[in-house]
Amino acid sequence: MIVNHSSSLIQLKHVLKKTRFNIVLFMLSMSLCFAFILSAINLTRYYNHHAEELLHHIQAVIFLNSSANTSDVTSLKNQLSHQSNVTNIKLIPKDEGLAQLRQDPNLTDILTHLNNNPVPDALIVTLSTSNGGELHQLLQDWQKSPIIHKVNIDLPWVERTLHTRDFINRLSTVFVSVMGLLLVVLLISSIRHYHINSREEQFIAQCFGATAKDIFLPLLEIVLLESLVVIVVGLIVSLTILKGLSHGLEALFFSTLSFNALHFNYILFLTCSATLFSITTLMTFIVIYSAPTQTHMIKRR
Amino acid sequence: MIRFEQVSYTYPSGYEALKALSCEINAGEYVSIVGKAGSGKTTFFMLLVGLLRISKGDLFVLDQSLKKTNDKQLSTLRRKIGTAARWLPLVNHVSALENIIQPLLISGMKPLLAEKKGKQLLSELELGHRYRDDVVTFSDSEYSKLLFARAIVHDPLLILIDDPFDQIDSPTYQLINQMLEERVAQGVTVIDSSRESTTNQNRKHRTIKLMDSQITDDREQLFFDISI
Repeated sequence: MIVNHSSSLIQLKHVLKKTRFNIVLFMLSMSLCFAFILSAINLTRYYNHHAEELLHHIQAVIFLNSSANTSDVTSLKNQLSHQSNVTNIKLIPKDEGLAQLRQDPNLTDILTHLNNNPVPDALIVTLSTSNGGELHQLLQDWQKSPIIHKVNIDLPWVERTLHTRDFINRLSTVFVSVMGLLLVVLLISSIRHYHINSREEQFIAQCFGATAKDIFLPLLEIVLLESLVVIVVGLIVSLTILKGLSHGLEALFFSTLSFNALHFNYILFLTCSATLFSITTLMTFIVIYSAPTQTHMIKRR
Repeated sequence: MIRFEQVSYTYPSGYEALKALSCEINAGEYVSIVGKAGSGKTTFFMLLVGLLRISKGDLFVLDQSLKKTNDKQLSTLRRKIGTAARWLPLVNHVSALENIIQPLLISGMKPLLAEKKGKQLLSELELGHRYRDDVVTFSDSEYSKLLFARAIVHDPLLILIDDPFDQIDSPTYQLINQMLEERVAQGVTVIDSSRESTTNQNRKHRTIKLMDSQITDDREQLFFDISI
């Protein structure tokens, strides 16, 4: 990719010598922005994955009426299994239900004084949904069934999980947009910095026959090289941030932030890098061609 | 080689730097443009290099009309021109050699060959031992030599010298003059605007006088060694 453009690189070498510290500051700032963008996207993906896991394993307990017989239960089970949101159905007959309750030491006293089994037949239904309204409708439909006594589900928890997921997605979008904008502003500043500091050299090169391409391409090469450094440093910082948060996230959400394709998406990273390169090329073109060098800008000895 | 046809140039401020200038300079001529400050000498040179676009008339440089050239053609033309002028300074904090070989690299010469040629030229100008030094460390006289070296290193067909030598000592001036005369003898055209309107060397020397943005005198002159 880097071809021999020695004549113009001589000019730019002078710029690098003159402004080394500024360039380091620019690159560090852009690397941090890129790192934050990558980290935010990956953390959002992590939380979305976690939320999806939860929302695919919502459990509802359907208590049946005491008048429901075996054929009613079978019929209900068949009906439920044909619903798209239902992923699993488990029947807990009343005897098994009572046996489970007897295992709780707090209830032993109460249960020993019972003459009959008050526990109804129950169905543990595993649901999958990403829509609180849909779930609410489903529960209302179930409640209408004559053989169903009661449906137990932690609907507020489901809605809270959905709202939290949506909020985190929105927050992430805002954060990534702001960081992205900041990165673009820093990129433009960096390109302008190069351009302004090499104006004299560009003017001199033009006077000796350098074409616009001779001026533009080496500058583009330098800026793309800077972008590559930004991407690499940004990636390292991002991985460090995610690794640092890994244990805390595991404690909170009981799932690991491991660096595999599921959580750290390399295609996403390549997409971000390609986007940065494209924006860099476009901005370099715009900055150079919108601010041509005038003779009065040149300092004479 | 060079032909001005009723060329006028007006700066954006409205100041008319050149008014209906007409003259012709052939290949192998050595021409001095003389005139006091503000007479239009630098504008004359900048028009030749294509840095300024003429307001009226037409200008032919190396038989190419500058009015009709595009940027690519202009770049090709500039590679045949060497310019030594204070308004075309050297790049500070870069070595002498890197500065003077720029025209060679721009025209496509390999860096190693260019460096070899550059070092040879610096040696001829008695600066060979300082080729690695940054130009900010050079005196005014040495700086002028470097400007001259950069103007001639790529063997241009046209050499323009716009008053870079007002700070040089006499031996340097003689050395540069000798090198210019050698090139003129080979058919290179030289145009200078040195304030030195008299010399103490034998040479056929055409002088174009500018006053109030116009040519007021254009004559061949013979200067004789005053020691004779």
